[in-house]
Amino acid sequence: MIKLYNKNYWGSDMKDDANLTEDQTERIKSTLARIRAGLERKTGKSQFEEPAHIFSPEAYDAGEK
Amino acid sequence: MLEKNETLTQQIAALAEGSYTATSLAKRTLVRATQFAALNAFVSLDESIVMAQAKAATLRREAGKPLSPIDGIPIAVKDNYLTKDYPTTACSNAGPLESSDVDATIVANLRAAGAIILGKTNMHEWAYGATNSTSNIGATYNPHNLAHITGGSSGGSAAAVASGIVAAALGSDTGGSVRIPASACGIYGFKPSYGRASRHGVLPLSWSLDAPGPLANSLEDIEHLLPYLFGRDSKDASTAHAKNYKPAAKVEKPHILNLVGNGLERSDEVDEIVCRALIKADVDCSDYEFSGFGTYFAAWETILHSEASSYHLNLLEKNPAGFSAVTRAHLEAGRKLTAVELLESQKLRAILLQTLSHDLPAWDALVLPTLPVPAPKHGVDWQEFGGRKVTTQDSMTWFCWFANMAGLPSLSIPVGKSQSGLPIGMMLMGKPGRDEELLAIGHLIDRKINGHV
Repeated sequence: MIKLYNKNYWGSDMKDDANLTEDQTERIKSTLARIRAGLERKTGKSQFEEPAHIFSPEAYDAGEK
Repeated sequence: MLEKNETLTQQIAALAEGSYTATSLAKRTLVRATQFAALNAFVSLDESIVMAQAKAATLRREAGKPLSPIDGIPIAVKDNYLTKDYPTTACSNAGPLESSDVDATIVANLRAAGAIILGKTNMHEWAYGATNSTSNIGATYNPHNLAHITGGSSGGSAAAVASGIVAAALGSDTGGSVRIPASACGIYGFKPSYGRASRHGVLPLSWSLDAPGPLANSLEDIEHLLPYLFGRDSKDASTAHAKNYKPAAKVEKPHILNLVGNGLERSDEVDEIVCRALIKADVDCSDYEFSGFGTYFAAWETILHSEASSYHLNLLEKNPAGFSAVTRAHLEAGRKLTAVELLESQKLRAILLQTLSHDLPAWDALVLPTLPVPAPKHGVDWQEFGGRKVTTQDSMTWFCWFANMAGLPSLSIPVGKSQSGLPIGMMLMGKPGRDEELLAIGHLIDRKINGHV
C-alpha cells in the first residue's frame, strides 16, 4: 500500500530547527560545511553528462503483485 | 572461546550426520546467549519462538525431509529486518512506520529453507552510525574486550557470531555496517554488489547505498547463505537483473591493487598487519595512488543524508523526539541539502564508476584495511592515525563507504591482532556483479593467511 506524505510537511507547518539543541545546530552546520567543502573540490571534466541514476521501467513490471 | 567457534559448515554437517538435532542445537544456542548476555547483542530473543521452530526442524529431519542443508540452523537477524514473529524497532524510540507482521524477503527465504530465526540483534539506531554506541537498548560490547566497541551498525550480529552464540547472522551495509563490526570482532563479513540481494523488508538507511549481507566465522559459511540472499525479487526493483548465486571457478593469479593516497591514512600498526598478510598471501599486488577520495566521500555523505531524510520524512514530522539527538541532527542536515547538491554527488558517483572501470590499471580486487584502527574504547570520541584526527564515527567508515558509493561487492577477512589483542581486518572489493569472483579471491588469500580450506 502506498502511503502519502503528511500534507502538512509541504506547507509551512513544519518549522525548521524547531526544538533543536545548540549541539544539534552545530552538528548540522559542521556536517553541511564539511560536505560542501568536499563537493567544491570536484575537479576535472566528467565523461558523463548526467548523474548516476537508475531508471529502468521494466524493473517495476515484474508481473507479480 | 573466541578462536574456535563452531562454523555454520560444521553445524550443517553435524545436523546431516545426526550428531545433534535442531532441538539440541537450539537449546545450546539459548544457553550461550544467556552466558553472553553482557554483550547486549540481542534486542529480542524468545525461547518459545526459538524452540517451536527447532522442534519443527527436528521433526522434518527425523522424517528424512529436511527443507535444505540449513534446516534447523539458528540465524540471528539485525533489528532492521522485518520479521513476523519479532517486533522490528531499528533500536530507535522513533518507532518504524512499517508493519512488522511480514518477513523481509531474505528472512522469508531462510525460513522457507528451515533456518531458525533466532532473534533480533542490537544495532546502531536506524543503522545511522558505525559505532553501535547509539541504541535504545544501550551499546553493544566487543566479545574480545568488553571495554571496546563492536563497531556497527550490525554490531549485535557481529557480537553474536564472534562469541559463538550463533554461527551466522544477517546485517545491512550502507557505509560498512557489515564489514566494520566483522573486522572489529574478528569474523568475516560480506557486502554484496548493489542490487544482487533483495532489500525488501530491510528498513532503509539510504536506498541506493544499502546492501543486506551476512556475517559468519568463515567464507564458506557465508557462501552457504548466499543462495538465500541472491536473485531477483519482484518486491525490490534494484534486483531486476540480479543473478542467483553460482560459485565461481578457482582463481589462479588475481591482480590486486592496494589503494593508497590522501584520505587513505591508517595507523602504523594496522598498516603493518595488513601488509604482512598480503605478503603471506603471496598474491600479485601493487600500490595505486587513488586521488579524489575526500571529494567522493562528500558525495557519499550527501547521498546518504538526502536519502535518509527523505525516507524518514513522515517519522521526523510525527515523532522528532523519538530519534536520538545525533540521528536527528543527521536527518535535519539531510533536509538542508539541495537537489542540485544531490545531483552533483550523483555525477561524482558516475565519475567514480567510470574511473574504476576504465582508468585504473587492470585489477581483479582492490584492497584496504577494513578499519584504520583497532576497535576503539567505549566513550572515546576521537581517533588519531596517520597524521589525522577524526571522530570515532568517521574512523569506522573511513574506507568502507567506498564500496557502497560504487556498488561493489566487498568482504572483510580477519588477518591478525593488534598488540592489545584486538582483531584487525582486511577489506577486499571486487567488480560490480562479480561477487563470486571476489569470494574466490578471498578464499585464495584466506587460505594462505588463516589456513582455511
